[in-house]
Amino acid sequence: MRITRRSFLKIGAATAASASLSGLGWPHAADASQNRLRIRYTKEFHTICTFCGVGCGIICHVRDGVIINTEGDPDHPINEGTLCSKGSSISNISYVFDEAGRPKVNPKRLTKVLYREPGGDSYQEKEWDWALDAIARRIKETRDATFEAAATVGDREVTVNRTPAIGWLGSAFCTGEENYLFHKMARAIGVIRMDHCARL
Amino acid sequence: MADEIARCQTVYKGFGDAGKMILRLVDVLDRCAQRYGGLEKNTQLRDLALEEPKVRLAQGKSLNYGFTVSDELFLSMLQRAAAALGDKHAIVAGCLGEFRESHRCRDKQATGKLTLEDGLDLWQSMRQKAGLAPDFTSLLFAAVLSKLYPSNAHGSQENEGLEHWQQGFCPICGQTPHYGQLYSEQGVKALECWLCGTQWNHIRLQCPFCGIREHDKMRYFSVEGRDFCRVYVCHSCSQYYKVFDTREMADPAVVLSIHHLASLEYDVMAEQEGFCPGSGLSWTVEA
Repeated sequence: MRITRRSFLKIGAATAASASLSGLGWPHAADASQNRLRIRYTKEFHTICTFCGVGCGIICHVRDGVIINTEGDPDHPINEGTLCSKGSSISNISYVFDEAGRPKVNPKRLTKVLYREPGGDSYQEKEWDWALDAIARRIKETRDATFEAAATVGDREVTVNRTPAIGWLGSAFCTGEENYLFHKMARAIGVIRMDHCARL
Repeated sequence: MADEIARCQTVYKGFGDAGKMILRLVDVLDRCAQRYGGLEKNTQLRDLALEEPKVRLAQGKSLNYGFTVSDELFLSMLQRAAAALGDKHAIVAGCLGEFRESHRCRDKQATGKLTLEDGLDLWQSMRQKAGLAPDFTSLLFAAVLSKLYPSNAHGSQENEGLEHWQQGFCPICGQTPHYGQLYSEQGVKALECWLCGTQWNHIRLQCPFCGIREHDKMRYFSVEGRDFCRVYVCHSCSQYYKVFDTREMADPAVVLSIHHLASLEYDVMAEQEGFCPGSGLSWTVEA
């Protein structure tokens, strides 16, 4: 610890007045004033569990920009502090850990679009514009080729406006709002086979 | 209490002599109360509020109970407690003498009674006295006032309204808390009143003093390797309180007031970091 003149005076004053409780057996003045203990600040944040649609409340403990712990929020009306096995381990989705147990961002995390063409044996880096165009084109082609405007139910024909050739998976790692938009989009283009990986 | 002190002596570094002093202080106060015929005869609650206790608590108002006690008992307890705490009792005796005179001048009807407010006023004036460090007067007055506070201050009727109480001050006596705990598997935060010992649940991420709930304004610090005690600080009101994480403890019967006294170094560090105790109980050694 670097002792400036100001902090030196402060320590001196503390020592001079320590005839109070510290002189009677309390170690706090000496410990805290002279042998400054190493303190670590931590922030707590509210968040919502991303694993399923229940929306359990979680408190995230963040120290030096790193999530060090997560726990159920006892004041959240849905889970009242409890978490399922997946929610309990949610702190592990942010990092991988090195051999010393220190958290770090996964170096294999995808940050670019990787494309493997049909029959190909390796990935190619692509631009987002290219990928979005390709996805939109293929959805449109598949939908147009398989679109069913009506179906016969019993002895009558009903409007269905659907494509049975496309399936759509939501993601537990997206927010509820994002999954809502996915659902609206899928319904709008006639997708009827939708699923989500949140299966406890 | 002796068991809890023994446990704290294993958890907190260097608490050995201080633990013995707490036992001596408690013993002196007990004997002093017995000498004056016990506390039950000397203490009484202030008048009940006009509203029903449940209604008052539902409105977020403290029942605001206090006590009235004979001035001889009160001043004698302070004097004997000061003597038990060491060689500063001469200064305390001088302060008490001055207070006794001024109180008798004010006490026109010669009731010989003192109230909780009188005790708090005396504490305030004694803080200014040279030679008495804030931690000394805090321990002295917290010990005596909490001893005088009737243990039956709230009956079962009032308890009915306590379960929904989430304010940042005590529902029974109105004091602001200095410490609390995290308990149960769910990690509920409970605050405890230093005066009457009432515990009530409080929202985890909220400052009890200014009520702010913005994440960026609140943090807690702990000492490396000793995460059992956390000091929550609020950058909005610059006040702090301590929270003991008792979830990992094998024995759930925790006497928080002992843990607080065993961890006074955290209070000193909090004040060195620029925060004031929200309870008003200062534990620095600097006057």
